[in-house]
Amino acid sequence: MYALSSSLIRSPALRKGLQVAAANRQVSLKVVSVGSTQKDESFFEKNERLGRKLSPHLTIYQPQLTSMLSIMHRGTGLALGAGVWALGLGALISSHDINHYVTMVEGLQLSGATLTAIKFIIAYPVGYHTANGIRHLLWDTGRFLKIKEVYSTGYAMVATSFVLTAILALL
Amino acid sequence: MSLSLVLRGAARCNAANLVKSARITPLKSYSTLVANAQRRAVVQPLALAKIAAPVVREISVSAPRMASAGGSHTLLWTVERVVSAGLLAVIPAAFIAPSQVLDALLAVSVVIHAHWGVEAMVVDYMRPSVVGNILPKVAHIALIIISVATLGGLFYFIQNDVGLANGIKRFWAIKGKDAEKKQA
Repeated sequence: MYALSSSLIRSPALRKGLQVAAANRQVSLKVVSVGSTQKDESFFEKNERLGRKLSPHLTIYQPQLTSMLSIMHRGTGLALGAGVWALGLGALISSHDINHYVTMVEGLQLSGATLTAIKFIIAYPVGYHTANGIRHLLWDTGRFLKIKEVYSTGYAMVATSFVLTAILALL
Repeated sequence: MSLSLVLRGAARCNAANLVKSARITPLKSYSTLVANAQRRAVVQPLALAKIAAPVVREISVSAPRMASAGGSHTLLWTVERVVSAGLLAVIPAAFIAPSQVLDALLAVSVVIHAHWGVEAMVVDYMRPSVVGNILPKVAHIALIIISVATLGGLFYFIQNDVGLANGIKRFWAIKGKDAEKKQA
């Protein structure tokens, strides 16, 4: 049956009929130089000139697991990057060695519970970014790209991130 | 043929209903057949149109395309993934068996990974159409300076202080005041 319908579509009679219909519609093409089709201003410049407001985007799009986990990955990455910069630039600028700063923190006399809580908060970006990083690398191999799999790996990843953080905080 | 159409209750006699009537192919693949037929109907005229009016090479002024103009991005992409995967091995190794070599490897991997990550953010958010033409370039240069300085600082730290992994371990080992009381 498919062969019949495809042969109908490809039949010379149909093609002739379409040609006749096209000729009757009197479509004509105008040859135009490439230069005349290029624009002077960009899309953004034109809309700014016309005084048009930008359409809402982030304010109206419903937060979803996909987008929230993705921006969290970027946020935790930025936080970790800032930490690395602080370590490196701090070592460059500071006139003291690390023991000075360790003693300074010990001098704060924080309780064990407070310290564990602080370590959990510092370790969470590490745990989340590592877990989601593995998820990203799995995507890069072409795995888990269907939307159901994106969601299931997403939930598994969040759980893993907490486990990883707990392990790091208790070390 | 018309009987099968009537039996289906099909209102129109067209190719779609004919195919559905016969149903020699399973219904699941029907949409693929239609999609393929529709795709072929579009691709042929498009290919002809491209021969008639060849696309002029576009010169883009947006930052990411300027950066990649004239070269392929694929090698850098692969290197980025290799470094990311490598970090999964280097970080535990540097902490389990601290040494100057592993510390240096850790410093280089982390700094370049962070550099590429923040560079992606600069490219995504500092768009010329939003912040103008100068700021993206300034941001890129500032990022390079910060990354180089960070790496320098970390190398200095590895050379002249306890080392990267050991330093972090020392902070992590700070005990609370009640733990010290228990020990005393």
